Amino acid sequence: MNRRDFTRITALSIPGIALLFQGCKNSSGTFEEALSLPRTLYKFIDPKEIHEIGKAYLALSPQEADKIKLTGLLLNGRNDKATQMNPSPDQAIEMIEANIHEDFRQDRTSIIKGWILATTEARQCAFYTIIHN
Amino acid sequence: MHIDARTLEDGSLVEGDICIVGAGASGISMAMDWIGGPYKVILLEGGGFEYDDKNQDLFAGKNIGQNYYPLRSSRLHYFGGTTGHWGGYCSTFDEIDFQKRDWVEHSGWPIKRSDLDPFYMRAHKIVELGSYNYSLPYWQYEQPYMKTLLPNEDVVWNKMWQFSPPTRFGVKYRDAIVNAPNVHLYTHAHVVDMKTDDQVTGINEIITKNFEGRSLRVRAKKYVLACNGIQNPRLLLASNKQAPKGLGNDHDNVGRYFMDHLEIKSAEMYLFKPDRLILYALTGKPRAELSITAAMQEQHRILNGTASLTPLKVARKMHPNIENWSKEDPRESLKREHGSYIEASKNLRLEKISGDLYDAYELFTRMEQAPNPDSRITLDTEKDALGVPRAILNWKLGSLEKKSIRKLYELIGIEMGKAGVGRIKLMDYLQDANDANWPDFTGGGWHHMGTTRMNEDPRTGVVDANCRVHGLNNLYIAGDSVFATSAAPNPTLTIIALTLRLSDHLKEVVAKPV
Ligand SMILES: Cc1cc2nc3c(=O)[nH]c(=O)nc-3n(C[C@H](O)[C@H](O)[C@H](O)COP(=O)(O)OP(=O)(O)OC[C@H]3O[C@@H](n4cnc5c(N)ncnc54)[C@H](O)[C@@H]3O)c2cc1C
Repeated sequence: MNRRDFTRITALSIPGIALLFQGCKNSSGTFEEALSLPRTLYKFIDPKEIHEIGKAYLALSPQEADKIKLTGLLLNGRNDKATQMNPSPDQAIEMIEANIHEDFRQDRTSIIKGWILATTEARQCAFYTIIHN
Repeated sequence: MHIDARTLEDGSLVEGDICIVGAGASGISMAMDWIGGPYKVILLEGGGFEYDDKNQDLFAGKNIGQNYYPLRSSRLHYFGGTTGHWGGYCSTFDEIDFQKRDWVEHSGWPIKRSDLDPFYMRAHKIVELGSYNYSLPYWQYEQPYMKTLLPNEDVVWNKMWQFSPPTRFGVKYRDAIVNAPNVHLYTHAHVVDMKTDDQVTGINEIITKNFEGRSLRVRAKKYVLACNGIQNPRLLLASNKQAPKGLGNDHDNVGRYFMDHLEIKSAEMYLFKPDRLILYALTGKPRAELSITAAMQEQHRILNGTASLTPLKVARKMHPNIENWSKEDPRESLKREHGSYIEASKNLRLEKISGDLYDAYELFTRMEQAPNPDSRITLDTEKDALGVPRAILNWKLGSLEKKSIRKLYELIGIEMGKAGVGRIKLMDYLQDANDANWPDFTGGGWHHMGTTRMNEDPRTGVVDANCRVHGLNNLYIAGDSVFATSAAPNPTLTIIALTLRLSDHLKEVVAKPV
């Protein structure tokens, strides 16, 4: 993802986010899948455990138990920015991965169900839990 | 020269310049160092040259604290001592291990790491290790395929280990000792008492016994107890005729501060890309364990510890040491321990074929235990067959050990995340930061440290910086019972280094006219 795309996406508004879920699908799957599938984790964590991690995260951060809010947090890292752009699922994945890396660098990590995770990863699990509830 | 004390007349007296009690790693290292010199060395060994069940039973005792290995089988009672069973894992202590750390109560040695360097170098030869070099670049230059898991060492560093064959002292050094004209080795000379002068300022005589009922009296200018971390305090406490609280025990420190390394599986490490991680593999060649830098230990106020890596599929087939080593007969326990490894490595061969062995590892901790005066050896009312009260061990763990293990893996996990190499999952018992319990598979490393700790202040230590027992002018202690703190590495290399340092000191002291 280039720098311009990144700036556009991090300026995404909440109504804008809602639009993203409407039928946007490409090689990596739907936008929802892009957000809810922690690509760093799915190799060794099964869906049941992802669900459990998500539940545990939401118990710790109940104010984030909202799909739209989580989307903003996942893509922006913060939920107070507005945006005009619809990222594709691939772009969303890239953004999330960048956020994960940044989380580790900035010590935004937590231990959830024993896993040492970036906050963004934990939020992805939470997103998974919400959409599979 | 070798004398079997069973063949002597009861009550015989022998005299020498120094008397070393115990022919294990430390006793033999010291005796070897005196071969060919002008002094007469008396080396007393309670056992013979072979394992004997009746002799071994003198080591039996009770465990009343945290689950531990049977005392009877956790040390060997014959010439060569516990090097008959040791695994040969060696590494040096770090500088921080000798320092006073305000977050570790009772920490701090009266000596520094650099004081031990020349002796570590000499100890290396005794246990047949390679070059005295523990720097990663040195070993990477020797073996360029040793790649590190993490790109930088600011938080997690690679602590190098070397492996002794392992040297079996009883085999390797037997001829040299037996053929040395100035070393008089007495086997079946089990020390049961140490007698002092009336003012309790020094040892006058040591008494040994055996099952044939032949006692021996030994007199020397200087005495060195090198019986191991349980027998050293036991003997001091049991020698209580002139000093009712036991020798060197005016301040009730003898037997206290018992420490072992916590050796326990703690986490699972999952890699994004499978990697054999040869730098960390157990191949007999030097390898690394992951450790936390001194600065981070200080920042997070944790103990020193390391993590070793074993492919998860293999590790899952291994039984915990505390389960394997549950037999009173050390030979049986050893067989079970080896059996567990053999079973697991069979699995390694099978799994290799499927090709996905190196994508996940078990992380196994070796954690320093914080000195704790309530973790201790005391005497039982029950006596052994030679009339010495048996030992009781009350091994106690605290919350700092658990906090430190959890932090160790949290830091490794974060560094792995930064490096983008994988993720870490803590085992269940570490998940709740407020849970102080230890799981059933918690074990030690068979390292019995701290029970005659080194401190310049007699109120807080049993021996001084020269390993001399406070208040007694001619009694010294060799072995890990003198450790003030335990650091993370297995102790034997440091035991030998300290013993050689003591040996040099004694040569000076004995040379001086009395
Ligand atoms: C299974 C196992 C694996 C181990 N692996 C390692 C390892 O990999 N690395 C490592 O560093 N350490 C290891 N150790 C620990 C190591 O064996 C000890 O640190 C080392 O042997 C201690 O040396 P020592 O001389 O103090 O005691 P010992 O080697 O136990 O020698 C003490 C000697 O004193 C004699 N003795 C005792 N009481 C009396 C008495 N009253 N009178 C006369 N003689 C007496 C004993 O018979 C013995 O010969 C291991 C131990 C075990 C049990």
